[in-house]
Amino acid sequence: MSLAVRVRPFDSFRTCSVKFEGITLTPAASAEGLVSDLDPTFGSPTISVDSCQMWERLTVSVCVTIDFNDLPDAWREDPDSAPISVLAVVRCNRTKVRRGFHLRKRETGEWGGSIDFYSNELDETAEAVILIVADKASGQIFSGGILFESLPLIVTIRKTDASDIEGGPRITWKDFTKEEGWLRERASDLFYVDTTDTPVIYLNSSIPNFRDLLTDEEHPPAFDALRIQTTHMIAISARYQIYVDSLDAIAIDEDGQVLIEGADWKTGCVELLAKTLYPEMIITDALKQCHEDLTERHSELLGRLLSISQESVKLNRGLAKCVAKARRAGDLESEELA
Amino acid sequence: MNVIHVCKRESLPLLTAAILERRPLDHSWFCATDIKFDQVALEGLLYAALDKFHGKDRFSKSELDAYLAPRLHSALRMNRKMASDHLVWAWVASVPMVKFLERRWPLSNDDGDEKKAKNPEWRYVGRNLFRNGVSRLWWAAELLRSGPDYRLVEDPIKAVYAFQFVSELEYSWHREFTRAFARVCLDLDLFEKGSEVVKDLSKRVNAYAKMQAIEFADDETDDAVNSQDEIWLSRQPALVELTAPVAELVGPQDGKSREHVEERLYTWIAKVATELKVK
Repeated sequence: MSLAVRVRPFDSFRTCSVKFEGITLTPAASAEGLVSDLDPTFGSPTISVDSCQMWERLTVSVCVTIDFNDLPDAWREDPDSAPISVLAVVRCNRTKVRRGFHLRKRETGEWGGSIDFYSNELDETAEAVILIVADKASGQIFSGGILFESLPLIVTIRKTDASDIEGGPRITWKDFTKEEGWLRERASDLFYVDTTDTPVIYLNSSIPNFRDLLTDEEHPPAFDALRIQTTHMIAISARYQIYVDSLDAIAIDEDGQVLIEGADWKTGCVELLAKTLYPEMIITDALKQCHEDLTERHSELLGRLLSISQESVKLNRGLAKCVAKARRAGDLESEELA
Repeated sequence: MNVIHVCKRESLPLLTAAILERRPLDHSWFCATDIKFDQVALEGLLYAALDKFHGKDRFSKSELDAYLAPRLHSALRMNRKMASDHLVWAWVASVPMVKFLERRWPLSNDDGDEKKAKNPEWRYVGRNLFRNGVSRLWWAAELLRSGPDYRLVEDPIKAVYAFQFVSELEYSWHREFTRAFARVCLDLDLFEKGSEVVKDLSKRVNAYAKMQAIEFADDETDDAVNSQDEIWLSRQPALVELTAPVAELVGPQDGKSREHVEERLYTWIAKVATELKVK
């Protein structure tokens, strides 16, 4: 999952501007590289945050400058006394959030402050607008009346991977070459499935173009096919490993009843596996059957699991063919261009 | 103890067809989340509610909604992000709360004098959180509660159609504004006067809210307001807690209404109500 913030300028009125002074993530995580362009005069800059960074709050610091030539004459003469406030308002359509923050006055014509986005209360798209409002009634202006409203700063949360809420394993990008220990040992692998706790699929961002291949939707068709194949291969391999690692959770108690012990995530997995392998049985019988298969080293269970593995191998081969085709297509295109 | 599930996106058409054709559901259409809830307590609450408000007239249905809303919110403990996912509510409406849905929006005319509901699929699997039969109640409680206090939740929900106008407008996202609006309606007996009166006031304040920042009264928001109450989220209430009077029901500590903000907005909305000559 990534978070994108697009900021559009105050183009509805030319004499007010908003400048972005910084972005922080809480708990502290590096915000470096998140900002591609925060200068609103160049259109819609983007901030991307991976959900795996486990951020709780994204804070965007802003500075709003008002040119008093745009305000009523009475206020223009003594800008420091102008009865105006500057508000940042955060809204999220999906999660029904609507909340304002007053920005603090810094010096004549300048206000600053922070806009906070909380990960637990936002989904899909949120926006923040800057409002300049009248503090008190004056002439035809009433207290709280909106004098100016910026175009929205749009926060888009795109679900580009299996989300936690859908019950799938967490997916995390990591540069394996920069990790310590077991991930570093797998620096040449595309991915690694860690089942020591709730399963996490680590995708290796140090593999050239791998991240682009999976996340960038602007690929030519050959790369689309490659992305689909790669995604399926990873999903099938991960599922196979997760199933196998969850099987040790099945136990039989003294009364011959099935027990599922161990981590919570294994419960759902073994039930699903048992149901998939033995659809004709009720779940307790299917679990018992799985347990017997394991203890008796029954070949059927392993055979069925092996078929899943073979499917993965087939896809892996398909993937290799796709890579070859994509390369050939790229070469031909280069020749034509030359 | 059980966990909340979510309908797989690709299974939604299958679920919809199965509901409409009254066929059994397939468990493989759903995935488990790691959010726990007490299925026995929820079922107990549901049966207690259906037993308490067993009539089939509009009044009984409204009373049933009002009774369930704060209690469902307390029983299904999740944050707004999760609660904004219609696929979660598709499961809640189709599986643990299906008895309520069948009573509230019958799928057929089999049930004596009960009429078949129009577009019942909205109530089970619809994307609109204020149309899904269960999420509309959960969200109404979420928008109207003040931290752990659910006391204001029941009365506006009794006015089903009136609350629907309110909930579908953006001003209702502002907690203090929604509460102030509900209080004005209650103090002026607008809910009793009918949905059209509430609708008129709602339209008028909505129009003003385009020109006037309703967040103007907002002040510094401390982290306690926004930080979700993890302890409350992790604890599952017993049936006896869920069926207690609403004043004894305890919600999360987060999302407290700022009283001075609510009062200021109350004054403003009450003033707008006088423009309608509503006495």
